[in-house]
Amino acid sequence: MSERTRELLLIGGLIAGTLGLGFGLIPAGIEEGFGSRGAGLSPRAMPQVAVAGILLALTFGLLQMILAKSPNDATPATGDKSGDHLLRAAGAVLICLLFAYIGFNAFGFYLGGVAMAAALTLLLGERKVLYVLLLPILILAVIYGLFELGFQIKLPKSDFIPGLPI
Amino acid sequence: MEAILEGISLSLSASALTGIMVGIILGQLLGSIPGLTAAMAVALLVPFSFYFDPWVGIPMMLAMFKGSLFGSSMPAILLRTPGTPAAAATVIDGNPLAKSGKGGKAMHTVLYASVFGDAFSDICLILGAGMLASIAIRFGPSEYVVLILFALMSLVSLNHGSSWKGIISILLGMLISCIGLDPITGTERLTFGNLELFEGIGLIPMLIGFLAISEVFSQLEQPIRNLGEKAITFSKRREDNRLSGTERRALLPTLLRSSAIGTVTGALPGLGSTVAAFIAYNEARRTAKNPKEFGHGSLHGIAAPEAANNAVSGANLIPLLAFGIPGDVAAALILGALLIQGIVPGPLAFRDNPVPIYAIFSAMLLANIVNYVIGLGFIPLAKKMVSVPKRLLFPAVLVFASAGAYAMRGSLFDVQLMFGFGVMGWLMSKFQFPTVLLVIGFILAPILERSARQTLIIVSASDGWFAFVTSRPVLMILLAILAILTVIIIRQRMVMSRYVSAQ
Repeated sequence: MSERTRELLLIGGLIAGTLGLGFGLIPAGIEEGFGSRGAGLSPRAMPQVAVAGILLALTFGLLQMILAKSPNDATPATGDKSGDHLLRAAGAVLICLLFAYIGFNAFGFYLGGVAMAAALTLLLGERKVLYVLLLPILILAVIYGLFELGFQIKLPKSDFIPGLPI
Repeated sequence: MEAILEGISLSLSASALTGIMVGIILGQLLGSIPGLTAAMAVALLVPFSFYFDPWVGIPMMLAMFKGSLFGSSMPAILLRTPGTPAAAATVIDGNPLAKSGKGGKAMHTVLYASVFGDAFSDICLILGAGMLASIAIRFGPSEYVVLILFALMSLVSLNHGSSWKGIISILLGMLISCIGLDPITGTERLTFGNLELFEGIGLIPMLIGFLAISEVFSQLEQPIRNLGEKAITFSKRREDNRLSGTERRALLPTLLRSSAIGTVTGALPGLGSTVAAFIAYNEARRTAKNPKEFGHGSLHGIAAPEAANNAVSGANLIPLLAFGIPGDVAAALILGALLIQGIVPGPLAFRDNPVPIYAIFSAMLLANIVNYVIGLGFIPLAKKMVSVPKRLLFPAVLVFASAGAYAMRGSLFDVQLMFGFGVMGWLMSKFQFPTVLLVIGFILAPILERSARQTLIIVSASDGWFAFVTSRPVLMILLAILAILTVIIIRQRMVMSRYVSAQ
């Protein structure tokens, strides 16, 4: 896919999303009933101004793309790196989201954190068992010392294993 | 005078000095790790500052920035891997000098230039911010609206990529800042009944997500190389590992010129340290007796960008402390730390509560001395620090970030938000949308909205817009500047697009 096509698709998608935001989410998410309107501006004004501004900027971007000469049509998109690297980054994102939404609740921050750090270390290509196992324990030990002992902050405990002290 | 002395005594207290020392050590250590940018390191530590006494936390944050700027030049010199974009100019001469075995001399030059530039801009900040604040105190909400628009316009115009992408980033930040309860009417805005969103989006998950997590995700797309293999050898000769008195004196004109460039650049919102570093480097080469040395390990080529990019760090606090407007990512992070500690910078702070401001000034000057002393001891350690492989570093960053985001409000929702913003920032950077502008838009939007609403109320009570504007000379001057700036930006952009089309 050329750089220009990618940008055009991006602008198209963003315009659709912004229209959905302006005509769907904002009216649904901000009531303008009795008492909601104070002196001066309505609570919807700022988000609507932002959405209108985004639409204007996107239109400007679209016009710029259309009016510009297109010698770069054949230029491949430069943002893409090798598929493996993109997969690695996507895998890391998935691991982080999995632990943020499920892992920390289920196993507690410390056990979940060790598992998350170990999974990420493996994903990033570390194959020495010592590093994969010991490094996450070391990181979480530092966090335990800093938070639980230093700042007296309790990080989340496991929902599944209630008797677990951390 | 009493406030100044009180401020100095606060910064000289044992707790503040400990904060400065810890901040410098952490900053230098974290900054020297390749892949961990200075902003990322500080973003990770902002939430921790809350758990300290303000006079430990604030000096620690300020010191950490200074330390990390120096530290981030180490991988630039030794591995050609700048810790920050601003250190990219240092690579040009720093790396060739290090490759010739004179890595020690290069690092001493960086330390000397960094501390010089930092101290120069701190003195300018102390002299300039108070003066500007005394003018700013006469500003009403309408002047603030124009001033914020002015700051946002300059940020967009100086964005390296497409201006429309810069505008969208700022507006998206503004939109995100609207989530929560309306500041005037208390109406729910875009919360959809989620209680966690009633207080609005937290600054900490926002800062860590967009500045640290997104950077980690972006870097994971690069091939992971074993950085330890790149370590270079150091000459054992004493003169190759130090900076002589003669060399220090010879660097003074370059340092003064570059520090002045950095200070002026830093005082204007949005220009940033990278621009300052390259302008200073070019200026040093232009005025050099032997410009051919540049690119081959010239000490002036190392000192100029380092003095300039460090000078930016002090000067960019001028708009922050005088007007409460952060000019770049560093100032945005420092603003976050100040707000966490309950200190709201701006002209009123100079009038109503000047002691913390003077304590900040004093702490910044002290931090320069500590940075130099600790930096001298840190140089031998730098060689080891730069060989930490990213595959071990990034998991640690992600787990630490999770703990930091949770700790602030004790909410896992903030951890989820942080990773959500991290993904959003990663995708934005893939499509060249500047995430820093989004963060600044997020921070400035509440001030802009409040001021705009107050202005409308004042105007509705006066004799209309024309009478209102003509009764305020400062507002008229600011509006004229904004109009001129708009014309300049449009012209610049037209010239640039014509040039691109011609290419």
